[in-house]
Amino acid sequence: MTMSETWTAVGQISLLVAALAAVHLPLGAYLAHVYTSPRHLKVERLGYRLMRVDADAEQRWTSYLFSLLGFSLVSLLALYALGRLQEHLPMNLGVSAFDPAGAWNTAVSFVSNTNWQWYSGEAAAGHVYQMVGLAVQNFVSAAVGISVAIALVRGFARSGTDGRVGNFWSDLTRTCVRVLLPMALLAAVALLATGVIQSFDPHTAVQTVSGGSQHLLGGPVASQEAIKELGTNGGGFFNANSAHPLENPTPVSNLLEIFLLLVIPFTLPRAFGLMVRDTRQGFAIVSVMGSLFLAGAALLTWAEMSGPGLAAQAAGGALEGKELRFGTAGSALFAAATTGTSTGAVNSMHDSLTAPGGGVAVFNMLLGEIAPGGVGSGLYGMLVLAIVAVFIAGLMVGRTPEYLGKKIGRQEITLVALYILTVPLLVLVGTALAISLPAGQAGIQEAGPHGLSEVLYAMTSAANNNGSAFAGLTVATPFYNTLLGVLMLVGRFVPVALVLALAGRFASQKTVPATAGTLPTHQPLFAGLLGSVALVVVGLTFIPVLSLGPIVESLS
Amino acid sequence: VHLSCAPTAGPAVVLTSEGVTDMADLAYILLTVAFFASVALVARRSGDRDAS
Repeated sequence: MTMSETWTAVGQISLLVAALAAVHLPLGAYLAHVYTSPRHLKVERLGYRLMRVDADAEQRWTSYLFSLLGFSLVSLLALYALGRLQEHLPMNLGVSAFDPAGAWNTAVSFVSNTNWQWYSGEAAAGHVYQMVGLAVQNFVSAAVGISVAIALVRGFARSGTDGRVGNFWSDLTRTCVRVLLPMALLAAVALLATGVIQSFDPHTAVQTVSGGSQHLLGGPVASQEAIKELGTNGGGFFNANSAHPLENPTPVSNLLEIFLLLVIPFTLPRAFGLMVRDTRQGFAIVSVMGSLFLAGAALLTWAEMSGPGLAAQAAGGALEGKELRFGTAGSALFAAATTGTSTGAVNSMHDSLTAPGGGVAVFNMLLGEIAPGGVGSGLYGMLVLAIVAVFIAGLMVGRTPEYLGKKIGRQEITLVALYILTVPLLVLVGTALAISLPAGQAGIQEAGPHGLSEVLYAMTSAANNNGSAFAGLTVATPFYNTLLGVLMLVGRFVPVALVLALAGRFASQKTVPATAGTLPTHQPLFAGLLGSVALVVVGLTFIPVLSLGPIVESLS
Repeated sequence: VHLSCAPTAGPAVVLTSEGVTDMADLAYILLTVAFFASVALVARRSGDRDAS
């Protein structure tokens, strides 16, 4: 580890924190305004007319969920059809249709905001499929996640409403029109300025330095890159994702992309604080998110900079699988950000991360994508853990637990327990199936603990809707496409249903005024308890399998 | 599903490779619809309990 690399790492993280802090208050206030304003824009009214929905009708949580499920089902089937009919689409660059398992996996992946990619983007996806299919889902799947988080926040903010948590169509449309589209437009222009390409050029022949010739594919990359990061999606235009020089050309574009994938998840807690009329609650949530993220980023950076072996020490870090233009600092920070936010974009090969570095990446995802998590899913995941924290605190002192004036009774904690158990069940059962069935074993390229780490990473990435890959596992098979598809589907929509049920129950309750015996949930003590609960829940659930994978690998 | 009559001895019908693909399409579509319908059904029952 050299001093200059260390200062580069510190400088990048400091710049990032400063930029995120600068936009936290104004963007948080804007988001809160978007979801509380009674007025609709003209373009939004047009959308409601086209969809034939009444955007002013308050929906009970069940109606909100049915709208969400119906929208996602139609999106999924449409994307599946596009994948199966790809060879007949215009501007398809001569690619053939996806096979049924591949088309289904990709449809589930993009509708669930996971963006797991079993295929190579430039070789298997044409322009229309990328733009009309994948990029559209990048917007709307992110908007679905934010809508669910806002519905839960309304549940806390409202009192005695018969379970009414807002209107899904209004939340979805407003998120796209007022938040994601304008931000993505600005981000695309900024990315263009850093050298990311935006064109419809087919393969362009260029002469290489050594005198040979090479064909480079152009395409609408900057526009897709912007929402890929902003919506914590992660599906790259190119197979190399953000390691590709046309997708992420410089250290400046790299830092900009990291900022984009963190900005909404770190800002939503401010909107939460404003909507529940207690901004201190938002600060408590964002402080826990920030502490966990910074701890992960620091650990991962340290692990990569002090990589084992003479080669790594001579090079000043573990450079295998990393782009030299980003260095270990830019690669480690990106890896921490993408696994902490359920984005799944990568600018280095995660399979080449050092054992402790890869362990941190997996742990970030195992936390349930809450540090700071995906757009929307990070906030509702953290709020669910906050309920667990007040429940534990309530048990300690013998009081009925309350959070933001809402009592946590038997039914509420049952929903929370189901939420907490869903993803670990998927990860562990999925890993067990993959390592025990011949079809799963056939895809594992490395024997021993690293092979288990590869499978565990894939299952964790899918079930937590992250989408990044270790890339050492052969997943382009019907077995893995189906198994990972099921994990993505269940890992997204079952927690969403549970969160909306929770939102409905809270919205139905009368808000109880705080008393002298109420646990203050805005103070550092509670923030510490919340962070500890997150670590303990993950630790108790996953330590055995982590011990057999990354931990034993780093000790051997 | 594409079925074709066998002209001579052997199986009465054979499933072509296109037929297998069509079956897979149908299976994935049914799996998807069944999953979303199950979540919606469980939610409706839970919602009814909440309302009562």
